[in-house]
Amino acid sequence: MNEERKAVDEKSYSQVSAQTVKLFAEMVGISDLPDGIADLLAEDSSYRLREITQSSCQYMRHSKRKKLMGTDFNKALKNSDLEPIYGYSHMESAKFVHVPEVDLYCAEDPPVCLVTEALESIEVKHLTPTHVKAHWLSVEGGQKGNSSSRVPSGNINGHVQKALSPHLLLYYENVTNAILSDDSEITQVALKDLRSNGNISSLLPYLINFVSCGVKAAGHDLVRLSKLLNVMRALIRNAALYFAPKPYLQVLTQSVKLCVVVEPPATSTNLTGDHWILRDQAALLLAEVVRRWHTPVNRLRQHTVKGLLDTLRDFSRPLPVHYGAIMALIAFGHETLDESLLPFMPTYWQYLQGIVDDTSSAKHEITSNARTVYGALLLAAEIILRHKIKTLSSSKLKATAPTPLPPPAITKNLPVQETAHKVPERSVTMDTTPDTSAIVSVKIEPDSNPAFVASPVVGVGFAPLTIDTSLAAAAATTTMAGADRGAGLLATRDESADAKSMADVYRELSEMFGDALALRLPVLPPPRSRPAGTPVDALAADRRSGSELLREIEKQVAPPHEPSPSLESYADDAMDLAIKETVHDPDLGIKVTIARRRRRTADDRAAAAAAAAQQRRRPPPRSYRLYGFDDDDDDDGGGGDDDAVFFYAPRPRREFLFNYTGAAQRPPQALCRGLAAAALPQPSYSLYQQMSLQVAPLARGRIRVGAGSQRHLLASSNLALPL
Amino acid sequence: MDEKPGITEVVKAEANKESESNPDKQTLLAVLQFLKKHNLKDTQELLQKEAKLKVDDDSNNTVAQTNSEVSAALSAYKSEGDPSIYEDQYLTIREFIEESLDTYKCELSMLLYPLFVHLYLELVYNEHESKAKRFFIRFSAQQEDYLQEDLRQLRMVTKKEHMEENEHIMENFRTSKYVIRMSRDSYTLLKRHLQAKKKNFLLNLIQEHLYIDVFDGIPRNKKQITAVAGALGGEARRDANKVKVFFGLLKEPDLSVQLEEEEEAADGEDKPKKKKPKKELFSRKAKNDPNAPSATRIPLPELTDADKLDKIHALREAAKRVKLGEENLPSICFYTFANTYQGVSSAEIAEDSSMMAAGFADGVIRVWTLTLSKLRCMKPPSELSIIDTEADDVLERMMDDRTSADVKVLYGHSGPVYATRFSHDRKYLISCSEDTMIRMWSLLTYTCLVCYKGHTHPVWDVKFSPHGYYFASGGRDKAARVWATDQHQPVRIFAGHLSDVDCVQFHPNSNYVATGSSDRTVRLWDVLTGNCVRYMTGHKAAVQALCFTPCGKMLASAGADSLVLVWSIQHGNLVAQLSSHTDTIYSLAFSREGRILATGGIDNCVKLWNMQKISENMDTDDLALSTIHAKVELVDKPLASYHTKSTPVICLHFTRRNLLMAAGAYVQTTH
Repeated sequence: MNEERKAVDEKSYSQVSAQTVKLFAEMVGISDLPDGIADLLAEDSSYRLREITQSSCQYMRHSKRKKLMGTDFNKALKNSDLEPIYGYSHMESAKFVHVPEVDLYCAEDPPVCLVTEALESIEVKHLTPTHVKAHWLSVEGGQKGNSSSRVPSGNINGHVQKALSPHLLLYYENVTNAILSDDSEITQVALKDLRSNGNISSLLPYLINFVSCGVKAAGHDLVRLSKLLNVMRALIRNAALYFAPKPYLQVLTQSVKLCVVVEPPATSTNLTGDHWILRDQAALLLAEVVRRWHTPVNRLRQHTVKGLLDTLRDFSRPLPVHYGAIMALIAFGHETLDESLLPFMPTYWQYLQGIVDDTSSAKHEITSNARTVYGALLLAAEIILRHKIKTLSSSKLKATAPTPLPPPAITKNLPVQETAHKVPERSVTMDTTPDTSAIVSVKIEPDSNPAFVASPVVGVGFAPLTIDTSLAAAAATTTMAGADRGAGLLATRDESADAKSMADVYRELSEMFGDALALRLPVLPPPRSRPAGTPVDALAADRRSGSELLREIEKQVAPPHEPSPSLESYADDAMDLAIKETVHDPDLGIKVTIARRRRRTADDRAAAAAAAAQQRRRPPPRSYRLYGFDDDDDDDGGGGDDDAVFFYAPRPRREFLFNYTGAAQRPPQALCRGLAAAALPQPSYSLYQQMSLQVAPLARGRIRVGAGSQRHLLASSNLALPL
Repeated sequence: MDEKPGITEVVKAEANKESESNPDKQTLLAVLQFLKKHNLKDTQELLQKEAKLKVDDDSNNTVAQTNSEVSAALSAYKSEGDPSIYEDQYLTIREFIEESLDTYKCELSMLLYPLFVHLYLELVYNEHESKAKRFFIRFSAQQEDYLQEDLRQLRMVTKKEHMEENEHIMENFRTSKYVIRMSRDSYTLLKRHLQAKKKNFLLNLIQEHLYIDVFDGIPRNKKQITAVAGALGGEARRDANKVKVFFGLLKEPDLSVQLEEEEEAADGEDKPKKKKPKKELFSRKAKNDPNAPSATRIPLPELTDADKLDKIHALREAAKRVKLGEENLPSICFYTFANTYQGVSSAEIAEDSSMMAAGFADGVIRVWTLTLSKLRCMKPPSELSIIDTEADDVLERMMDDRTSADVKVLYGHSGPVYATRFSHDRKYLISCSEDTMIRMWSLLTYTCLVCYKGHTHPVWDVKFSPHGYYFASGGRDKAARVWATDQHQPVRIFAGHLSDVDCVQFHPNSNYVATGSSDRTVRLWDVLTGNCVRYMTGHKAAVQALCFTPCGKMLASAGADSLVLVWSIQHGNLVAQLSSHTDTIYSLAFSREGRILATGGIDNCVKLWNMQKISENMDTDDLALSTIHAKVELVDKPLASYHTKSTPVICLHFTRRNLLMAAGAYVQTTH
């Protein structure tokens, strides 16, 4: 209960801990403060602090400030008949220094030698006196300077009655020309200005008009579309622009959505891959727009989601369009996915299966697109399940289980992520409660079978929380979790809306994705979907613990710093990688390594997992991580080589890794700049065949974490990329 | 059992044991308490006789240790119920609401918030802390956005002792019942459901703490409800806004005699032209406005000669007024305070735009002159005695030119000065500050004349009456006071707000005072009777600025929720909602004929709004306004919007000729 309270309180309030109270007591002279008293005092003082802070905010508000000063706090103290805290002046803010040993900031408290201070000649700091300056903010409605701040009345469609000031028109011309120009520097300058300029609110209808017409007219011109997307992003991030008036938001979201669902160009060019990037970026932007401007009154989120679902339902649209719609839904978050995509998935799956299974070489463009879509769906499924697991794990566990969850350990063939925590060698059973709240409590029992049996429920990041397939199947008979129903009720969102219990969801998804999801973990694949040729060794290998696996794999895989692009054969290596090229982009802080991997399996489904985009944790700089490789434990060398490139930029709070699918000769720099579609590995074509498949080339590889990366805990999947 | 709570657990345990051993006694005592509370004396005595209990026993068990009054109110929360049913109760009612028809859903969902709060408070009072926490976490995120601030404050209260001390919670949920307005259909639906399912627990709760005001008509939709939701005590009751309010302007005194003299003094040739507009102005006001209060409703000072001259001058200026409108936007002159280190806490420009006063956080007031003439002090008495009082320019001779300056500094307050106001004749300046005093300064000698002591808490706002002599103040003690300048005690105290009074404003006819508060409501008070005549809800955060239209028919209010709400005084309902600001709005000003509203706030922006359409709409459908379904005009596009780089706008003022003046302190962003 204490942990629960702590966890909850930490989220919303800072707390005085009992430890602090004891320290204070020691300072005062009370050396042995009993724990109970310290707790009570800590709680009480936290409450008082909060109360005082609340009342000091009133003083700040009436002083017409946004910054809370020490004087406000002192006044609140005075109001509550407490002594003020001396030493905080009105004008100076306290200087804080960072103490790295404890990773804290504390106020600077330098010792002052009074003798020297007294003997020094006194220099009184003369504060310049307050004075008043007058200037014309506007003359008869027009603001001096570039822009006229008058909001033009009239429709957004361009039939604006009022003429803008010539300055403003000139600005508009310049900005639009700059954006459409080819010189990236000019474009950057223009975008930067759009983002920070506070005076262009009267230009807003023009700019939105420009963007929406541009999007409609651009059609398949991806370069132009991406430029317009950047414009939209800059406008959204401009703090002074107010999008709530009626037409702006609709038009804007429409334009962004058009970018998401733009049809791919008919002819395949070198830049074909970029339309995936465009979609991903547009998806992120759409989510950002909706997140910021959604209100219960305009119901923006519901409309947008509905529109995206409609696009998805329309099977006559080409597959990249569907991919875009799915990515946009993913960007909205796991709740939207739960509500909207999950019920629709079976239907869509049928449709997709039909295309994927069609391996006639004439349509390999379509099939590879289909694999991309599949990858996106896989990502969505992973996110849904991951969230469910997360709510599970944070709820009351019956046995002690480590929270937060440790990362996954992976099969010997899969790249291994570092386990942040010790892997409990236990299996976890999932019990589902049949009630509408769909609470699942996770029961972890000491495992009689030391084997790492896990079922394909958990995505990347959940390794030790492996769930016994058989047990899960048993759990599907919905046994009650023994103890009180209310035990696991910490879900912040009531799950009564989600009628399916966890097991149902998992079962359904695993039916669709099978090993794709399974391969996040080192597991025995479920019996029915076990590929025929799985050697027993693979299973036996999985019986190792996660950390063991990790160490083994780390030993096996060579560091990516190898300069030579020679095609060393890693035939014995499970990874089977050949480093081709390493590219370093200091601006974005990315290091990209292109390596070729020799694929070995011919089984699509078994190989499915690797290609999907996954979330990656930031490992410490020393080691490197490999991602999403397919289950190569199968036989036959054969098959073509693929290239893989990973994109990574350190320091965003949440990150995503996307697999790029690109032909070997694509310049790595181009790949650095965006997200790419998740795609399935292709059937076993020869290398040349694959290289000729320019349309949706696949690539996989490794990435090396930049030196400045920080440890990054398991965050929920999110498409936010530092663009 | 009068131990202080929470000292030793041992004692607590003992106490619990004691109470546990007499469950029946407890119940009986609780019943006795209940009867006592509801003045059912006979029944109480009967029960006492039969149960052989003494009344004194009550005080031991059911009264809390600290404040008996408070605990009496709190004992309403005492329940013997099983704590685990609270969540279920809430869930069931929520399910019911979600399954009901869409037309009723919005209205019924208004119930959820007060129920949530009261259930939570019951859990806290009955010391089921962990369950209370869980209950809170589970359901708090589903409440409306604008209530999250309140919920954060509520979340702080986790123990019974907190409940007793936290004024905020106690005030809001103790004395006043939360008011919800519902259509008859929704109400019958609710009642039927609760009675059918025998949910006595919820029924009791609703009866105890909520007041459901039922009206006949179509249920409201989400937009309508959101427009007026947000106040701390729920919405306004039906009868809250029924008193007749005299919102017309006072009849202007007859100045025609004086006027003709002035005319002769002015250019002779322009006589015929000038006479015409003046006469028109007067003739308009000669008609009797049924909505105007009589000139003697509240005693106002007589006009002195100087006042009359002033008025004439004002009228002349008014004739030269720029006609503002959609096509013709005003020019804005901005006064920036530099080098203030975030110390300017208020600014104000005099009515004739000749002077500006600013209050600072260190208690200092500075007065600037905005015209070419400098500020001068009066001569010392020794020199005054030699002046010939019959001379024409005696007022000029009185002033000491040696002391002329652009800025005058007034010392006296010991805390930040939150408001400074000029009197209508610019002879006095009144200021209020955090040190709970209101000071009146003379602008002839630039010294303090009077210090009004009456508030016990910081005074947040003070305003002079447009006719002089009265001023109103509002402060942290949740009451607004009206003072007369020559009396040391307030003449009226307006109590009724649930939280601090953040701003006050006089109606142009000086008969009413509007107050805006941190409990997110705006109230209109009658100066004559002291009653609250209008209660207007709809703001989602504290109200920081109020402004009446010059015609007196409408009131504009703005605050921390960055919305400007325009209310009709006649019926007290919301007429328009202007949203475009992105941060707290601190200043509002109507142009002199009321066609343009200027708003300014901490988002460094001055926005101009068109009031013409709104006032036209108001005039036309007079009847419709009295219903609850009056259409609220949602405006989100201002006429114009002017950004300053980094200067919050804290004062806006239209001169007599409709030039807009704005003032603000430059905030240095040093990062």
